[in-house]
Amino acid sequence: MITSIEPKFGSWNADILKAAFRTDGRDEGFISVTPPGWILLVGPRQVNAAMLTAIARLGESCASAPHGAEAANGGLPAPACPDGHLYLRYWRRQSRVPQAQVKPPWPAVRVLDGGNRFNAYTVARLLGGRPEVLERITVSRAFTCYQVLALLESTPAMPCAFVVLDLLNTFYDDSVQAGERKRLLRACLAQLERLGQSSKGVVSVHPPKVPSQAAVEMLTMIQAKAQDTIFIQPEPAAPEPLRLF
Amino acid sequence: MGRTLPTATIVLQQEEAAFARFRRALRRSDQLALDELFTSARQHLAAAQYASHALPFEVFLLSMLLEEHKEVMRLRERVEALLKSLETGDARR
Repeated sequence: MITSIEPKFGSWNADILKAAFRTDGRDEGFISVTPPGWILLVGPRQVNAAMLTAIARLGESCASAPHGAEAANGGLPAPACPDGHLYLRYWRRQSRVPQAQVKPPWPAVRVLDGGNRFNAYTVARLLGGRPEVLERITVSRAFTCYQVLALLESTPAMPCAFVVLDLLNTFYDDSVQAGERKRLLRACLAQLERLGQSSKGVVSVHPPKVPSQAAVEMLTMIQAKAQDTIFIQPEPAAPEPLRLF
Repeated sequence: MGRTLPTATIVLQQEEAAFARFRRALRRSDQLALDELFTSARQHLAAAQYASHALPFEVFLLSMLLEEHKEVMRLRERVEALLKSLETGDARR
């Protein structure tokens, strides 16, 4: 019986991701990427709905923030990004353009989905279908543990928040040998470290359907690399309202 | 490889289920009318799937409106035909 993946403490609310990214309370609401790194959320699958709510809120706050490179980087000089040089020059010359009208070349939130947990309809509904926010949330999915590694390797380091949903889902697949899975996970953790150097991130992990020793070891590996680990216990369901008929 | 998004059929079923309590609170005659509305939305599921709209329920509402408008057009044509026949009947007299 796995004990370390089961919820230990803490309670879930939709603002936990916001707190994790340390968005400040000002109207600008941009993400502070200092200190960089990523945190680990461990909890049952029921928290995924709240996770999507948090992603929508995060995307909303980032999309409405002033899109200066410095603003996106929490007041720090912007780090280099694939096409960042061209963007920065353009930004400085067009100083009369209101900041909110200029979109940075990176998305507001990058979602890397390792367990097919991202429901775009839910997020779209939460955001009221606003395309200006939706188009700044990018989603990439992986369906095998090999694809998870390829996905992380192909993700460039950018100064924008990233969320990895259900990272270990494909790693619970018994058809891949445990040693191979651990090797892939180690490589994935190195990639997460790379991504975490330029931005803040959140990685979620859910317990496996079939408990195993390999799952515990993999969770320990992730915990060792994470900046912080939050064990989430879902709030007890509210009592059913009394039905009149 | 799994589906990344629920199909239009599944989304409509979910929406219908979400309104189950609302339906239950309606009169029987209204329940039947509501069922007809969902049936009319079901007629355009293929188009709703193709549209891939961010808010699928808006497409379902539009599908319902489309069917209602078709019904209005059909009734309007019938009324016009009846009026014409009445006018020609009056002229013969």
